[in-house]
This record gives sequence, C-alpha cells and structure tokens, in this order.
Amino acid sequence: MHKKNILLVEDNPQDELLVLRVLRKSHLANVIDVVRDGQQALDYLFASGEFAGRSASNLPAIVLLDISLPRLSGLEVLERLRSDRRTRLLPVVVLTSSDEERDRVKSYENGANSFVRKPLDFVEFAETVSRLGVYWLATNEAP
Amino acid sequence: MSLHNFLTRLILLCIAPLVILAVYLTFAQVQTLRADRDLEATQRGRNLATAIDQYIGARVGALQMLAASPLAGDARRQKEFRQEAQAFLHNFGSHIVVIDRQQNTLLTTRPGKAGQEPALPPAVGAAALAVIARAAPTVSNVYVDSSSGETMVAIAVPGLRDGQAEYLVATALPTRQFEQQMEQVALPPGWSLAVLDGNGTTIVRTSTGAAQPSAVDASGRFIVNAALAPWSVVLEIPRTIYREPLIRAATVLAIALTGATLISVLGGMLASRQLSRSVSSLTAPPGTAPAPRIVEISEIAAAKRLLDESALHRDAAEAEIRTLNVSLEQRVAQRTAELLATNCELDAFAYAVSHDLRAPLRGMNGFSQALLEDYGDRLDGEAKLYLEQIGSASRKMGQLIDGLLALSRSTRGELQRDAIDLSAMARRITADLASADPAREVAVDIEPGLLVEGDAPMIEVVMTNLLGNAFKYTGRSAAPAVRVYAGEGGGGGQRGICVADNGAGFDMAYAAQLFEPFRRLHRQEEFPGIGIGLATAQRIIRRHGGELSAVSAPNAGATFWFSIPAASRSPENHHA
Repeated sequence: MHKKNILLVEDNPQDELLVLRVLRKSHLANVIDVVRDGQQALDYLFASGEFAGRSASNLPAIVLLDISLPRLSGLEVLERLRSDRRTRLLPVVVLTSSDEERDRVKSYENGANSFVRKPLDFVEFAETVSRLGVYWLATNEAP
Repeated sequence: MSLHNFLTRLILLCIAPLVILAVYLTFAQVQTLRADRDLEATQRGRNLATAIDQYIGARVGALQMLAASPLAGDARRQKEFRQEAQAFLHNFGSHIVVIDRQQNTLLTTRPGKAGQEPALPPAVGAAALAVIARAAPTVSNVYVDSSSGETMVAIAVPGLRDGQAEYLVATALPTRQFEQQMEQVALPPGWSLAVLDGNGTTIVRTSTGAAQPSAVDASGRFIVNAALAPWSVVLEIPRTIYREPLIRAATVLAIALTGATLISVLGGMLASRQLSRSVSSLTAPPGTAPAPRIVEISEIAAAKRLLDESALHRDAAEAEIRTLNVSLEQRVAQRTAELLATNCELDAFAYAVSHDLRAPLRGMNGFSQALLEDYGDRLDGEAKLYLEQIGSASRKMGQLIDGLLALSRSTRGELQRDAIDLSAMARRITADLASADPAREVAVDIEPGLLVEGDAPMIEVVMTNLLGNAFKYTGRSAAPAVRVYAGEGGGGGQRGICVADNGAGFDMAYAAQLFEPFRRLHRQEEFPGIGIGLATAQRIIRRHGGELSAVSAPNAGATFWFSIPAASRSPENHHA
C-alpha cells in the first residue's frame, strides 16, 4: 500500500511556492508532487511520457488543479480524467484565481469534486490550502 | 353599385320623360288628324246642304213671285195666270198647282180637266197645312207620284192676302234632280252621302251606296241640316276607313318612338360600358392587358397616365426604400458584428484579468506575509510596517480588480426578466449587512410588497450596493436609519424605488461624479471604498431601461431613486 499523496498542477511558481509553504507548515510537504502544465498532469496520472516509470495504479489522494495552464487547460485535463476508466473517480479540486461563473459551472460539469477560489489574502489562502490538504488526505474516504 | 349600373339607371331616367312626351305628342297628333278629317267631312256635308238649299231656294223664289202675282187667285184672269205659270214650267221643268185653303185645286199646269185632279198625296197635304198655318214656304217630305211612279218632293208657297194665306202655289220635283247636286260633291273612297227628309226617309243617296250600318260608328257619321227644307245631309265614313289613317299615323309614330328609344338605350348602355371599362382599367393591377376600348375617353386616359406615372414613382420609391433597407440591414449587421467583436474582446480581457492579474498580487501579498511570519524576529518595526503596506496595497488592488470585473459583468450577458419581490430582497440584504457588523444598530424600514421585473442577480447587485452604501455612510450618524419605499424621483416625478439614509450625504455640486467609476466623494479614512458600486448599479439600471439618480445634502442623508418596470406577474420564487 502506497502512501497517499497530493498532486498539485500549477504553472505559477509563486503560487506553487506558497502552496508548498503552507503544506510544509501543516506537515504535509512530504506527500506533495508538483507538475506544471496540463499535459504533464496527464502523463503523471497515466504514467506515460516523462512519467513512464511510475505505476499508473499509484494515484494521488487528491489533485489540486489550476484552470489557466499552458498546453492543456485545467478544464480539458479534467475532461480527460473523467473519460478514462482509471481516473474516472479520482478526487479533483479545482483551485483557481478565477471567480468567473462560467469556470465554476464548467468545472462541475466536467466532474470536479470541488471548486475553490484562491483567496488573495495570504492568511486566508494559507488557511484554505491547509484545510484542503487535511480534509482530502485525512478526512475524506477515497473512492 | 357599379358604375355601369349607375350610368344605365341614369340613361333610363333621362329617357323616361322623353318617352312620356313622345307618347303624348303621338296622341295629340292623332287627335289633330281626326279633328281635321271630321271638319272636312262636316264641310262636305254642309256644301251639299247649301247646294240643295240654293236649288230649292231658286224655286221657292220663283213660286213666291208667281204667288204674289195679282193674277193668282183671280178666277177671271185664270188664263193670264196660266201663261205665267207656263213660264215657270218652262224655266224649272216642273208643273205648278194652285190650291185653296180647303185643298181644292184651283189651277194646274198639268194637262187635263180642271176638277178632275187626283187627291193630294199625304206628304203634300201635310206641307200645304204647314204653309197655311205658318204663312211661309214649306218643303214636303218624300212621296211617290201616283201617275209617274217617281219619288217626288213638293214645294209650296202661300199666296198672301192681307197677311193671310188665301191660297198656295206648289210645285213638285223628282228627287233624282238632287242626284246631280250629289255628283258634284267629290268624296274620298269609301265615304257615302245621303239626304234624308223630316221622316228620316232617304231622298237621295250616293251611287256607291251606304256602308252597312253596323260598319259605321257614331264618330264616323256627320249630320248637317238644310236651312229651307226639313232635311238633313248625312255623311258616313265606315269604321275601318275612319280609323285606318289614325292607326297608320299612330303605328308609324310608335315604331319611330320605339326605335329612337331603343337606339338611345343601346347607345347609352354602350357608352356606359365603355366608360365603366375605362374606369375599371384605372384600378386594374399594373401589368394586366388593358381592356379593348373602341373609344378612348381623354380624361380617363389622362387619369390612367397619371396613375401609371405615380405607380412608376411609387415603385421607384419602394425600390429605393428596399435598397436603403438592405444597406441599413447590412450596416446594422456590420455594427452588430463589430459590437459583438468588441464584447468578445472585453469578455476575453475580463477573463484574463480575472485569472492573470490576481496571481501576482497573491504573490506580493503572500511573500510579504511569509517574510513577516518567517523573518519577523529579524526585522525592525519600520521594515514590518513596509511589508504590511505591501500587503495592504495588494489587497486594495484585489478589491479594485473585483470591482472592475463586477462593473464589466454588469454590461455583459443576457438580461433575464424575473418577477422580483424587492421588499424580500432588501430584507435579506439588510439582515446580512446587520449581521456582518453586529455592534451597530441601524433602524431599517422596508415598505412591503415592492414588486418589480428584472434580472434578479443583477438587481441584487444594485440593492446590495445601495443598501451597503446606506449602512456605510450612516456609520457616523447618531441614530442610523435606512428606508426602502416606492416613491417619485428622477426630476420627472416618475414612480420608482427609493433607498434613503440619514447618513453623511454629499454635496449636490458633485452629484455628476457620483456614478463615474473610481470617483469618490469621501476620503478613504472617513468612509473606505473603491468607488465602483454606484457606477455598476447605474449601468445595471440603465440596461433595464430605467434611471438611477440621487438627492442629498452634506450631513442630511441621501436618497437614491431608481426606476424599473413594475412586475407584470407575481414573483414565483422570491429570494427570501
């Protein structure tokens, strides 16, 4: 049995740094993997491309998915994950700067388990990310 | 009524008096003809009567001369008298008889012995009695002479002595002598003449003979009395001959009249048909072949030309309008496309702002905060203050971005038309505002039953902004109060919704700046804000076809008024 971890899909290095800092402070830093665009996220999850050496069955407990990503957008990644048998039930939280209604609606339509806006204020941001990590790793029962 | 029918009636109406007049004239003409012929017939009868009178008159005169002779009645001078009588016989060819009052023959020119005279025929006797009684000449009725068997009449005149008829002188005439008189009267064919005596016995009659009595009407019989004899002249015209010229004249006139009427009616109908066809051709749709016209009526042809010309002009104008419409539609389509493109760009811009402008801010805020947290113990007070300023500035900018996006959203997207219970919405928002700052006591008065129609989420943005402002700007009031009610405003006294407070208010001199984005009438340290709420609210109200305005004075509160269509139906789902 593999240790459950978090996959962060985030192309903004500052956001990545801040998320990692928060998780470290919450003692969750050792369970996080980071990819920086949509294609990389798919390669990681399906153990293909640069992640060919991974075991495809070793899925994270939760995927924190940004929407505005280079190459494949977060919404497209979500669509691919839901159309694949292996990742159909994988918990995905859309974590984005946007508060556009169409993003929120589209995320849920594409099968997001949750939609969370990144708060601008760092204190709120830290609190939100910390709660997410704790909830999905400790509280939530995996499918 | 069609034009053709109208004209036909007109023609018949015009012809009817003419027909009546013509019938009257025909009748009058026939009457005149008849009167002329009656006059002619009477005249001819009178001529004959006059001729007979003259004939008898001559003999009466001669007999009177003879009777006046002193020889007459004198038995002694009978021989001389006989000679005189012989002269009469010589002139007139008739015998003379002298009779006394007792009807004894005194003298006769007839050969034979005196005293052996035959008795006087009764007709002569009656005449003799009349002569004696009247002492005047008399003509007898017809009798048949016993010796000769001829039809005769007698003429007797008195021989006067002291005014009394002492004796009378008579002569007899055979009636055939009158035939000569009759022959002199020229008669049209079929006509007949007769002379009757006082008894109605025919004295003489035209050789053609009388028509059958049944063939003669009273109107065809003309009677003239002779003056000297008690006779009458009768002229008879048989019914058939009497009526024939009248019938002929009437027939000719009737045929002529009927013909003229028929020609008038037919001509009129023909003209009316042509006229109505000509007029119909005016209203015929363009392009149809014109009805064949034998006669072209110049006025109608002119009207037709005018109509055709105006139709041409109209067609040209319509074509121009169509062209203009097409070009207008093209321009509208072009403008719409441009507008859509602009909106798309704005949309894309807002989307990018939403995503990409926030991330760097979060970085600034996040790292300044991280610096404080991780290295705060190594920083002095001023360094910490600077880091806090970075955080504050980034938060402010985040608010500005949120405001800009809200403003942008207020002009984008489809506008829904929901029935909204504005009172319920206001109660909910004020409840939220009150719970956000439980330390404050704000008196809220909301008129119930304010129903409007609009896009519910957008109207909620408006009400949130207006009520948020009301709560914010009453922050320094002694007894803060907020009121929501239906009232008049906007300068024109139009009905609308009012949101009033008793807060800080503003100077009306700056009212125009109130709705400009990022313009504020209060300093940040008095009342914080970014100056985007009212600009957003005004855009939303304008998109609903309404208007938003404000009335205020410094420290006297402010009343915001907006117009919006009233609800045409009850809210199905109010957001209470």
